Amino acid sequence: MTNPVLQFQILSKSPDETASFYTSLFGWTIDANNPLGYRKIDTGSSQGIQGGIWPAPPQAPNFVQLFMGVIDLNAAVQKAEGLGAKTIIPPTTLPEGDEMAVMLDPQGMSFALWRRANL
Amino acid sequence: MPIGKQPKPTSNTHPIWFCFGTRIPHLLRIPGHYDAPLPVENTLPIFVFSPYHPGMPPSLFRERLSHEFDVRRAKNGRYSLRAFAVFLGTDHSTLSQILRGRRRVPDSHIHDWSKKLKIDGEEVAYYTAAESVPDSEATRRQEYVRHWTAEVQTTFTQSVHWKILALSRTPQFRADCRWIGEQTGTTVDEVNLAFSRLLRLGLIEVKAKDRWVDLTGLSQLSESAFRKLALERIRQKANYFHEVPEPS
Repeated sequence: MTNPVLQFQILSKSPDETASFYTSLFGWTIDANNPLGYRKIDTGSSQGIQGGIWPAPPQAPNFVQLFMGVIDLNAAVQKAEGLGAKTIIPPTTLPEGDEMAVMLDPQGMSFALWRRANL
Repeated sequence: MPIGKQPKPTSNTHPIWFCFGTRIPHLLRIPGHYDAPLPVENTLPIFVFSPYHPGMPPSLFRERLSHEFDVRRAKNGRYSLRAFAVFLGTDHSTLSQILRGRRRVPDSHIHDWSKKLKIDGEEVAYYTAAESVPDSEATRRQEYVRHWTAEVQTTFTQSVHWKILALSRTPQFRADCRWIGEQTGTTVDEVNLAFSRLLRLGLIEVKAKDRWVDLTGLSQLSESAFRKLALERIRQKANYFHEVPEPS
Protein backbone atom coordinates (compact mmCIF):
# COMPACT_ATOMS: atom_id res chain seq x y z
CA MET A 1 0.00 0.00 0.00
CA THR A 2 1.06 3.58 -0.43
CA ASN A 3 1.22 6.27 2.19
CA PRO A 4 0.55 9.54 0.43
CA VAL A 5 1.01 12.92 2.02
CA LEU A 6 -2.60 13.92 2.56
CA GLN A 7 -2.32 17.29 4.16
CA PHE A 8 0.04 20.00 5.34
CA GLN A 9 -0.50 21.86 8.56
CA ILE A 10 0.95 25.21 9.49
CA LEU A 11 1.46 25.60 13.22
CA SER A 12 1.52 29.28 13.93
CA LYS A 13 1.77 31.41 17.02
CA SER A 14 -0.61 33.85 15.31
CA PRO A 15 -3.03 31.66 13.36
CA ASP A 16 -5.27 34.52 12.25
CA GLU A 17 -2.36 36.50 10.88
CA THR A 18 -0.99 33.44 9.14
CA ALA A 19 -4.39 32.77 7.61
CA SER A 20 -4.67 36.35 6.50
CA PHE A 21 -1.22 36.32 4.92
CA TYR A 22 -1.72 33.18 2.85
CA THR A 23 -5.25 33.99 1.78
CA SER A 24 -4.04 37.40 0.61
CA LEU A 25 -0.98 35.95 -1.09
CA PHE A 26 -2.50 32.95 -2.86
CA GLY A 27 -6.23 33.47 -2.74
CA TRP A 28 -6.64 30.37 -0.57
CA THR A 29 -9.89 30.09 1.32
CA ILE A 30 -10.16 29.11 4.94
CA ASP A 31 -13.08 27.46 6.65
CA ALA A 32 -13.11 27.12 10.44
CA ASN A 33 -16.73 26.10 10.75
CA ASN A 34 -16.16 22.71 12.41
CA PRO A 35 -16.15 21.43 16.01
CA LEU A 36 -12.44 22.11 16.55
CA GLY A 37 -12.64 25.50 14.92
CA TYR A 38 -9.85 24.11 12.73
CA ARG A 39 -8.84 26.47 9.95
CA LYS A 40 -9.05 24.20 6.92
CA ILE A 41 -7.19 25.55 3.93
CA ASP A 42 -8.57 25.08 0.46
CA THR A 43 -5.94 26.03 -2.06
CA GLY A 44 -8.59 26.06 -4.78
CA SER A 45 -6.55 23.68 -6.89
CA SER A 46 -6.94 20.00 -7.66
CA GLN A 47 -3.17 19.77 -7.82
CA GLY A 48 -1.16 19.25 -4.67
CA ILE A 49 -2.65 18.80 -1.23
CA GLN A 50 -4.87 20.84 1.02
CA GLY A 51 -3.91 22.00 4.47
CA GLY A 52 -4.84 23.58 7.73
CA ILE A 53 -3.66 25.98 10.40
CA TRP A 54 -3.34 25.09 14.08
CA PRO A 55 -2.03 27.23 16.93
CA ALA A 56 1.60 26.56 17.82
CA PRO A 57 2.43 26.01 21.48
CA PRO A 58 4.10 29.06 23.04
CA GLN A 59 7.45 27.33 23.42
CA ALA A 60 7.55 26.05 19.85
CA PRO A 61 8.62 27.92 16.75
CA ASN A 62 6.23 28.29 13.84
CA PHE A 63 6.54 25.21 11.70
CA VAL A 64 4.90 23.05 9.05
CA GLN A 65 3.85 19.48 9.59
CA LEU A 66 2.97 16.83 7.03
CA PHE A 67 0.13 14.36 7.48
CA MET A 68 0.82 10.95 5.95
CA GLY A 69 -2.09 8.69 5.16
CA VAL A 70 -2.18 5.22 6.68
CA ILE A 71 -4.71 2.42 6.73
CA ASP A 72 -3.85 0.96 10.14
CA LEU A 73 -2.90 3.78 12.49
CA ASN A 74 -1.74 1.65 15.42
CA ALA A 75 0.43 -0.52 13.19
CA ALA A 76 1.96 2.57 11.58
CA VAL A 77 2.75 4.07 14.97
CA GLN A 78 4.36 0.83 16.11
CA LYS A 79 6.43 0.63 12.97
CA ALA A 80 7.56 4.25 13.31
CA GLU A 81 8.55 3.67 16.94
CA GLY A 82 10.48 0.59 15.87
CA LEU A 83 12.42 2.82 13.50
CA GLY A 84 13.27 5.28 16.28
CA ALA A 85 10.36 7.72 16.20
CA LYS A 86 8.69 8.94 19.39
CA THR A 87 5.01 9.48 19.91
CA ILE A 88 3.86 12.97 20.82
CA ILE A 89 0.11 12.35 20.57
CA PRO A 90 -0.93 8.70 20.62
CA PRO A 91 -3.55 7.46 18.16
CA THR A 92 -6.53 9.69 18.69
CA THR A 93 -9.93 10.01 17.13
CA LEU A 94 -10.74 13.54 16.08
CA PRO A 95 -14.19 15.05 16.52
CA GLU A 96 -15.08 14.49 12.87
CA GLY A 97 -14.06 10.84 12.99
CA ASP A 98 -10.58 10.96 11.45
CA GLU A 99 -7.81 9.28 13.44
CA MET A 100 -4.45 10.85 13.98
CA ALA A 101 -1.17 10.33 15.78
CA VAL A 102 1.62 12.89 15.97
CA MET A 103 5.21 11.72 16.15
CA LEU A 104 8.80 12.93 16.18
CA ASP A 105 11.10 11.30 13.67
CA PRO A 106 14.58 10.26 14.85
CA GLN A 107 15.94 13.64 13.77
CA GLY A 108 13.39 15.43 15.92
CA MET A 109 11.01 16.58 13.19
CA SER A 110 7.34 16.17 13.91
CA PHE A 111 4.92 14.55 11.49
CA ALA A 112 1.43 13.12 11.69
CA LEU A 113 -0.04 9.79 10.71
CA TRP A 114 -3.60 10.14 9.60
CA ARG A 115 -6.41 7.77 8.85
CA ARG A 116 -9.34 9.46 7.21
CA ALA A 117 -12.77 8.52 8.51
CA ASN A 118 -14.01 7.67 5.05
CA LEU A 119 -11.25 5.19 4.26
CA MET B 1 46.62 36.27 9.07
CA PRO B 2 46.04 32.58 8.99
CA ILE B 3 44.47 31.00 11.95
CA GLY B 4 46.70 28.53 13.70
CA LYS B 5 46.45 24.82 13.34
CA GLN B 6 42.86 23.80 13.75
CA PRO B 7 42.48 21.61 16.79
CA LYS B 8 40.84 18.26 16.45
CA PRO B 9 37.20 18.41 17.47
CA THR B 10 36.50 16.75 20.75
CA SER B 11 33.64 14.39 21.23
CA ASN B 12 32.82 15.22 24.79
CA THR B 13 29.72 13.77 26.25
CA HIS B 14 27.89 16.00 28.62
CA PRO B 15 26.16 14.02 31.27
CA ILE B 16 23.72 16.22 33.01
CA TRP B 17 20.74 15.95 35.19
CA PHE B 18 17.74 18.12 35.22
CA CYS B 19 15.42 19.02 37.96
CA PHE B 20 12.37 21.10 38.37
CA GLY B 21 12.57 23.86 40.89
CA THR B 22 10.02 26.19 42.27
CA ARG B 23 10.31 29.80 43.25
CA ILE B 24 10.10 28.67 46.80
CA PRO B 25 12.49 26.13 48.06
CA HIS B 26 10.71 23.04 46.92
CA LEU B 27 12.64 21.13 44.37
CA LEU B 28 11.27 18.58 42.05
CA ARG B 29 13.05 16.27 39.81
CA ILE B 30 12.33 13.89 37.07
CA PRO B 31 11.62 10.53 38.65
CA GLY B 32 14.68 8.42 38.90
CA HIS B 33 16.94 11.42 38.95
CA TYR B 34 16.00 13.24 42.08
CA ASP B 35 13.37 12.88 44.69
CA ALA B 36 11.75 15.87 46.18
CA PRO B 37 8.34 17.11 47.17
CA LEU B 38 5.80 18.27 44.68
CA PRO B 39 5.47 22.02 44.49
CA VAL B 40 2.98 23.58 46.78
CA GLU B 41 -0.13 25.06 45.28
CA ASN B 42 0.24 28.28 43.32
CA THR B 43 3.95 28.00 42.78
CA LEU B 44 5.32 27.81 39.32
CA PRO B 45 7.84 25.08 38.84
CA ILE B 46 10.71 25.96 36.62
CA PHE B 47 13.44 23.76 35.27
CA VAL B 48 16.95 24.19 36.40
CA PHE B 49 19.79 22.00 35.42
CA SER B 50 23.06 21.31 37.04
CA PRO B 51 25.91 19.91 35.08
CA TYR B 52 27.91 17.40 36.95
CA HIS B 53 31.29 16.70 35.74
CA PRO B 54 32.49 16.13 33.02
CA GLY B 55 30.24 18.70 31.46
CA MET B 56 32.44 21.39 30.05
CA PRO B 57 31.86 22.11 26.40
CA PRO B 58 34.63 21.51 23.92
CA SER B 59 37.06 24.38 23.94
CA LEU B 60 39.15 25.34 20.94
CA PHE B 61 41.60 27.21 23.15
CA ARG B 62 42.03 24.17 25.34
CA GLU B 63 42.91 22.20 22.23
CA ARG B 64 45.35 24.92 21.25
CA LEU B 65 47.02 24.74 24.66
CA SER B 66 47.20 21.00 24.35
CA HIS B 67 48.81 21.35 20.94
CA GLU B 68 51.38 23.82 22.31
CA PHE B 69 52.22 21.41 25.10
CA ASP B 70 52.60 18.51 22.64
CA VAL B 71 54.94 20.58 20.48
CA ARG B 72 57.11 21.42 23.50
CA ARG B 73 57.21 17.80 24.58
CA ALA B 74 58.13 16.70 21.09
CA LYS B 75 61.15 19.00 21.28
CA ASN B 76 62.02 18.05 24.82
CA GLY B 77 60.76 14.71 26.14
CA ARG B 78 61.34 15.85 29.71
CA TYR B 79 59.20 18.96 29.39
CA SER B 80 56.52 18.62 32.07
CA LEU B 81 53.04 19.96 32.55
CA ARG B 82 54.38 21.69 35.65
CA ALA B 83 56.97 23.51 33.51
CA PHE B 84 54.28 24.52 31.04
CA ALA B 85 52.16 25.84 33.92
CA VAL B 86 55.08 27.88 35.25
CA PHE B 87 55.65 29.26 31.76
CA LEU B 88 52.02 30.35 31.53
CA GLY B 89 52.06 31.78 35.04
CA THR B 90 49.52 29.46 36.53
CA ASP B 91 49.60 26.47 38.81
CA HIS B 92 49.92 22.92 37.66
CA SER B 93 46.55 21.86 39.03
CA THR B 94 44.59 24.59 37.23
CA LEU B 95 46.29 23.86 33.92
CA SER B 96 45.76 20.15 34.34
CA GLN B 97 42.04 20.65 34.96
CA ILE B 98 41.72 22.90 31.95
CA LEU B 99 43.49 20.46 29.67
CA ARG B 100 41.32 17.62 30.91
CA GLY B 101 38.19 19.66 30.25
CA ARG B 102 37.29 19.97 33.89
CA ARG B 103 37.51 23.75 33.94
CA ARG B 104 36.61 26.49 31.54
CA VAL B 105 39.32 28.77 30.30
CA PRO B 106 38.48 32.29 31.50
CA ASP B 107 38.71 35.01 28.87
CA SER B 108 41.44 36.78 30.81
CA HIS B 109 43.56 33.61 30.70
CA ILE B 110 43.04 33.31 26.97
CA HIS B 111 44.45 36.79 26.49
CA ASP B 112 47.34 36.45 28.98
CA TRP B 113 48.41 33.00 27.88
CA SER B 114 48.07 33.85 24.20
CA LYS B 115 50.54 36.69 24.69
CA LYS B 116 53.01 34.30 26.25
CA LEU B 117 52.48 31.77 23.50
CA LYS B 118 52.77 34.54 20.87
CA ILE B 119 49.41 33.71 19.41
CA ASP B 120 48.25 36.25 16.89
CA GLY B 121 45.58 38.74 18.06
CA GLU B 122 43.10 37.70 15.39
CA GLU B 123 43.42 34.11 16.46
CA VAL B 124 42.90 35.14 20.09
CA ALA B 125 39.70 36.93 19.12
CA TYR B 126 38.57 33.77 17.40
CA TYR B 127 39.18 31.67 20.52
CA THR B 128 37.46 34.20 22.74
CA ALA B 129 34.41 34.25 20.50
CA ALA B 130 34.38 30.46 20.24
CA GLU B 131 34.32 30.15 24.03
CA SER B 132 31.09 32.12 24.19
CA VAL B 133 29.25 30.16 21.51
CA PRO B 134 27.18 27.42 23.09
CA ASP B 135 27.98 24.01 21.69
CA SER B 136 25.25 21.83 20.29
CA GLU B 137 24.89 19.94 23.55
CA ALA B 138 24.42 23.15 25.53
CA THR B 139 21.87 24.29 22.98
CA ARG B 140 20.03 21.01 23.33
CA ARG B 141 20.00 21.39 27.10
CA GLN B 142 18.70 24.94 26.83
CA GLU B 143 15.99 23.81 24.45
CA TYR B 144 15.03 21.02 26.83
CA VAL B 145 14.78 23.40 29.76
CA ARG B 146 12.86 25.99 27.77
CA HIS B 147 10.39 23.51 26.35
CA TRP B 148 9.46 21.66 29.51
CA THR B 149 9.43 24.77 31.67
CA ALA B 150 6.95 26.35 29.28
CA GLU B 151 4.89 23.17 29.28
CA VAL B 152 4.63 23.19 33.07
CA GLN B 153 4.05 26.92 33.30
CA THR B 154 1.28 26.91 30.71
CA THR B 155 -0.44 23.93 32.24
CA PHE B 156 -0.35 25.55 35.65
CA THR B 157 -1.36 29.07 34.72
CA GLN B 158 -4.10 28.36 32.20
CA SER B 159 -7.07 26.91 33.97
CA VAL B 160 -8.73 26.07 30.68
CA HIS B 161 -6.98 22.69 30.86
CA TRP B 162 -8.79 21.39 33.86
CA LYS B 163 -11.97 23.27 32.94
CA ILE B 164 -12.14 21.22 29.73
CA LEU B 165 -11.87 18.07 31.81
CA ALA B 166 -14.46 19.32 34.28
CA LEU B 167 -16.84 20.20 31.45
CA SER B 168 -16.34 16.81 29.82
CA ARG B 169 -17.81 15.23 32.96
CA THR B 170 -21.03 17.19 32.72
CA PRO B 171 -24.14 15.97 30.87
CA GLN B 172 -24.42 19.19 28.88
CA PHE B 173 -20.90 18.82 27.47
CA ARG B 174 -20.54 19.56 23.77
CA ALA B 175 -17.42 18.35 21.96
CA ASP B 176 -17.05 21.64 20.22
CA CYS B 177 -14.12 23.94 20.90
CA ARG B 178 -16.22 26.99 20.09
CA TRP B 179 -18.75 26.00 22.76
CA ILE B 180 -15.97 25.16 25.22
CA GLY B 181 -14.42 28.55 24.55
CA GLU B 182 -17.70 30.25 25.44
CA GLN B 183 -18.02 28.23 28.64
CA THR B 184 -14.45 28.84 29.77
CA GLY B 185 -14.12 32.42 28.60
CA THR B 186 -11.22 31.58 26.31
CA THR B 187 -10.58 31.76 22.60
CA VAL B 188 -10.92 28.75 20.33
CA ASP B 189 -7.14 28.80 19.83
CA GLU B 190 -6.57 28.65 23.58
CA VAL B 191 -8.99 25.75 23.83
CA ASN B 192 -7.23 23.98 20.97
CA LEU B 193 -3.81 24.44 22.54
CA ALA B 194 -5.10 23.09 25.84
CA PHE B 195 -6.85 20.22 24.07
CA SER B 196 -3.61 19.31 22.26
CA ARG B 197 -1.71 19.42 25.52
CA LEU B 198 -4.23 17.18 27.27
CA LEU B 199 -3.96 14.72 24.38
CA ARG B 200 -0.15 14.78 24.58
CA LEU B 201 -0.28 14.15 28.31
CA GLY B 202 -2.77 11.34 27.89
CA LEU B 203 -5.33 13.11 30.06
CA ILE B 204 -8.19 13.13 27.57
CA GLU B 205 -9.46 10.90 24.84
CA VAL B 206 -11.94 11.51 22.06
CA LYS B 207 -14.26 8.50 22.11
CA ALA B 208 -16.76 9.63 19.54
CA LYS B 209 -17.71 12.75 17.64
CA ASP B 210 -19.58 14.09 20.63
CA ARG B 211 -17.79 12.43 23.50
CA TRP B 212 -14.51 13.33 25.15
CA VAL B 213 -13.41 11.17 28.04
CA ASP B 214 -11.46 12.46 30.99
CA LEU B 215 -8.59 10.01 31.55
CA THR B 216 -7.30 11.49 34.79
CA GLY B 217 -8.86 8.78 36.90
CA LEU B 218 -9.50 11.38 39.59
CA SER B 219 -12.73 10.85 41.45
CA GLN B 220 -12.78 14.51 42.50
CA LEU B 221 -11.40 16.78 39.82
CA SER B 222 -9.96 19.78 41.62
CA GLU B 223 -7.51 22.21 40.08
CA SER B 224 -4.78 21.23 42.53
CA ALA B 225 -5.29 17.49 41.93
CA PHE B 226 -5.15 18.16 38.20
CA ARG B 227 -1.91 20.12 38.57
CA LYS B 228 -0.23 17.33 40.48
CA LEU B 229 -1.23 14.76 37.92
CA ALA B 230 -0.29 16.98 34.98
CA LEU B 231 3.11 17.63 36.50
CA GLU B 232 3.70 13.92 36.90
CA ARG B 233 2.77 13.33 33.25
CA ILE B 234 5.04 16.14 32.10
CA ARG B 235 7.93 14.58 34.01
CA GLN B 236 7.23 11.26 32.34
CA LYS B 237 7.12 12.91 28.92
CA ALA B 238 10.35 14.78 29.59
CA ASN B 239 12.01 11.48 30.44
CA TYR B 240 10.52 9.74 27.42
CA PHE B 241 11.67 12.35 24.95
CA HIS B 242 15.08 13.09 26.38
CA GLU B 243 16.16 9.93 28.12
CA VAL B 244 18.13 11.92 30.64
CA PRO B 245 21.08 9.89 31.86
CA GLU B 246 21.32 8.97 35.49
CA PRO B 247 23.89 10.97 37.41
CA SER B 248 26.76 8.72 38.30
